[in-house]
Amino acid sequence: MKRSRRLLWAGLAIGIGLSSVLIVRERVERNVVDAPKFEVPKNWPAPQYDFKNNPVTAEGFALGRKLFYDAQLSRDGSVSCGSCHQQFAAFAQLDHRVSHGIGGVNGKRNAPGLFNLAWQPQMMWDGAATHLETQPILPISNPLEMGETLSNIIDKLKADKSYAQLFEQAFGTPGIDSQRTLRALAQFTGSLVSSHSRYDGYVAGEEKLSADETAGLKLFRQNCAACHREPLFTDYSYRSNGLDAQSEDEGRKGVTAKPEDHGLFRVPSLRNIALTSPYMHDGRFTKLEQVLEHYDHGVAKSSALDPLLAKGIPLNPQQRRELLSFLNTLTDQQFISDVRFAEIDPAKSVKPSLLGSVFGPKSQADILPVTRVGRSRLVLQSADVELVLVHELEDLVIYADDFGSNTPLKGLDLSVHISNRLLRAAEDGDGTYRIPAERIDFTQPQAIKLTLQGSGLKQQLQGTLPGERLQ
Amino acid sequence: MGSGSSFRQAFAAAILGALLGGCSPSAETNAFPVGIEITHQVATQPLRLDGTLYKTAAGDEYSLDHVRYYLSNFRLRRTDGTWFVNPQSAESSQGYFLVDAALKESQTFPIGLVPPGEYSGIEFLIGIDPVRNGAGAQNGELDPARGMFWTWNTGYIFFKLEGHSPQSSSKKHELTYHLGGTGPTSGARLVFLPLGKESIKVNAKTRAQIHLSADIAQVFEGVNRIRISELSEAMSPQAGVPIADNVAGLFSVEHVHNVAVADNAAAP
Repeated sequence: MKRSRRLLWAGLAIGIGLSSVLIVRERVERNVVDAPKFEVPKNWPAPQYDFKNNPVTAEGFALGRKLFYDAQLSRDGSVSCGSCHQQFAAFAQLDHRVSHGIGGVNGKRNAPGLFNLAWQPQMMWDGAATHLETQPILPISNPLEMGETLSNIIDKLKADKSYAQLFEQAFGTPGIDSQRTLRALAQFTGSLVSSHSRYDGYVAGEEKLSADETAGLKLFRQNCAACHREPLFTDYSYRSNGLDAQSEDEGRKGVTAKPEDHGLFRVPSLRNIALTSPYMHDGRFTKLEQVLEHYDHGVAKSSALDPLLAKGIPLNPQQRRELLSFLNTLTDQQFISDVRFAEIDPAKSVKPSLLGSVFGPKSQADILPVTRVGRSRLVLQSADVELVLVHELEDLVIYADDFGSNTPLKGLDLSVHISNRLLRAAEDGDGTYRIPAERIDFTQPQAIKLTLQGSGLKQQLQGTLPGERLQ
Repeated sequence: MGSGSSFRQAFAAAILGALLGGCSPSAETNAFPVGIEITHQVATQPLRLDGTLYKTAAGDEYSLDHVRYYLSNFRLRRTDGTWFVNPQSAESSQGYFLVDAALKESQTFPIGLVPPGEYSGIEFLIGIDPVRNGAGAQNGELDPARGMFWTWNTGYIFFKLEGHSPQSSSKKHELTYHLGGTGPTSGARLVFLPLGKESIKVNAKTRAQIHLSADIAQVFEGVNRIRISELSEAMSPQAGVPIADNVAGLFSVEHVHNVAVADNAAAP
């Protein structure tokens, strides 16, 4: 509605004079949020996905991002790709053992982080998807995930007036079809490149690692790098890491039908591993410590077990600490706070300016997001409780878990002291609590104190909520 | 690649021109479309998708709801042993044909443009070649929204037969055969058929047509005898292999036409 009025204004304004229109055009051009330029980081192999057939443009990327976050892609409009792939979790899903689909059903496997997909020869834990562009058909069609058909989605997008212009701008001619939809999505997902961790800085000679981190890197290279090969931290092979003597999930066999592939899963990248809990194809481990314990003494013998793990990976407590320190250097803060990848609510993110109000955006790509650099995120832990605070779109979301079992803590009375205010959090089911973001000033770091009561607990945790730089 | 694709583009443009001109021969390329027409039957009966019961030689009964399949990679063999390769564009689904037993218009299509000459055989793939099968999002005949794309695995369903059978072991007595895949268990089959006594003559004076017959009964009767009670559902490449071997024998050449056209071929 608002937009069409703006376009009307634009039409009137164009009548005023060509020279002023040209000036405004120039300014508007500069306001376009560019797509990230796809570049192969130094010393990385050539990507698998060929952007030549689907060159990334600002308009195509913006369309892909809108589709990625559009819940119309699910049958009942309840979940989008972004529901199970959250940017702050490196596009994995925080706290969800397996993905949650339409109607609240549980999926079969853990939603993996999404980054460096352009290098990935196959997608999904079992490698069922062999091409980045067609991969979305799998979660879209899965009755436990989005439960929708591609042809229904195309009908919905055609009926949604906000899309016609975006498709035309992205592909040059009018028309909405599945190829364009999937290619726009690939422009977005293929652009999710994570290559700015502290480890990358260290490799480039720009960053120093601590003694523990350096020792951890050495341990990593001795014990883990055979499968989690640098620089992508996976060799994209399918292996059994001995989670069970007999895997319930057939894994790779479901694709190849080879009996010897039963219980094999894709070796996941370890980049951003500190952010993508829970771990393994079924999300059985919630903490990296548990993963290291598994390799130390929990590896189950079976004919499928990868020979490299026949003796497990025994590590003493100091080595585990060092390895964990190193794994934390694989977190890419720039990636998870890159606003170009964030969900954007166009209605709320138009840059307030006179020009903008008169001429309006010429396209979706002109609509500026509130250019917040960084996204406040804070993890607070006590002996019993783990709280993860994340500034999502309109809320400060607090995920509360029992620290030991990592089960969600439901029914808590949770209040937050921040900037001399007391804010009560509303529970949103499953140990998730929300406070409207408008009540908090995120522009600067602030001391925050949380009081929680319930489930036999009563305690206070405090920390500093990092500020978000505004552009 | 560069010159190849521009060649293909030129060819596509020529075909488009020919189609717009009512399938008239292209003056530029001096080449002509060849029509393919497919008639479906079940043994000696016409194929109906209305619950009509058919019987296999082994005595199993079945009815058919859907029969759809892809044909691609057409080639025509000249009487001198050389081949005309039907162009397939990387940018469009040109050269790939989705045939649906329920849609009359899908059963007649032109291949070409074919250079003048005498052709004695036709070859085609039932299915999609591995390169195109894994080439990402496609459109036109290859649009995955057409329901011929697997949802548990990224790849096309090459051949789909769905129906019912009292002998089916599935709950609702359903009969479901989906063929697809790549590699050794691929359900794609390459078929060569000699045109028989009468070759087709491609030139400005005649309009050549090849009528193929597809006998769906062969799905159960070919090189492998399929008992419906033992195989009611095949929805993976591996499970579909014996059916794919039978599907390879579905087609035969019914007859060919060399229809004389008026001197002014472009006339309506």
